[in-house]
Amino acid sequence: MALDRGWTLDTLLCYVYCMANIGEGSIDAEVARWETQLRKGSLGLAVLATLAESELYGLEILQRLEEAAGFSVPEGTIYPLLQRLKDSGFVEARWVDAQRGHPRKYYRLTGGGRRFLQRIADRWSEFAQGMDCLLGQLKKVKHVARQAG
Amino acid sequence: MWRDKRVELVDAYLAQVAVDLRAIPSSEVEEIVRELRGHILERLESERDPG
Repeated sequence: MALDRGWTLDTLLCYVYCMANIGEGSIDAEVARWETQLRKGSLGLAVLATLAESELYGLEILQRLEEAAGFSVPEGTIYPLLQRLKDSGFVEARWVDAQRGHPRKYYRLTGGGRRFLQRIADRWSEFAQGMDCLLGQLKKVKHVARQAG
Repeated sequence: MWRDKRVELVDAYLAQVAVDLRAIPSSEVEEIVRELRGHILERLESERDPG
């Protein structure tokens, strides 16, 4: 049996065995891990985008993410992220004493934050366009496979 | 009454958070705790009184 890429028969058998044993459960877990990483990497952009129109306080940012984009963000995640954005000079904060209820810390974009947001939003669009092209090809391949099968 | 009890619990929790953050300058800890307190109490109030 001729094997490409220098694979030995043992390696090939191991590969086939592993592929055959990837159950739906481990695929689900892998998808969840992938999605977590994706959300983690894009949360800064999402938070900055919520602040593009007006200043908001932490809980409002979470609600906006949920309502506008369906992003359910763990509450403990938002404040360290806002602090990092503040330390980077992309947002600034001020306390507002509410007439009723509790004082709130409002965050708003700085000039640098607005420029940063614009640039990463552009990068995101380019990336998403490229990914859409790839996924479009994938759909075509699946379509042809379905027709052939 | 429910509110007092909950506020007490929240404040006890936040006191522990403040202790755990002792490595951070106290002015920053004060601000973090203040922000968390507002967040938790507002969330509790909205759950009790939705809309």
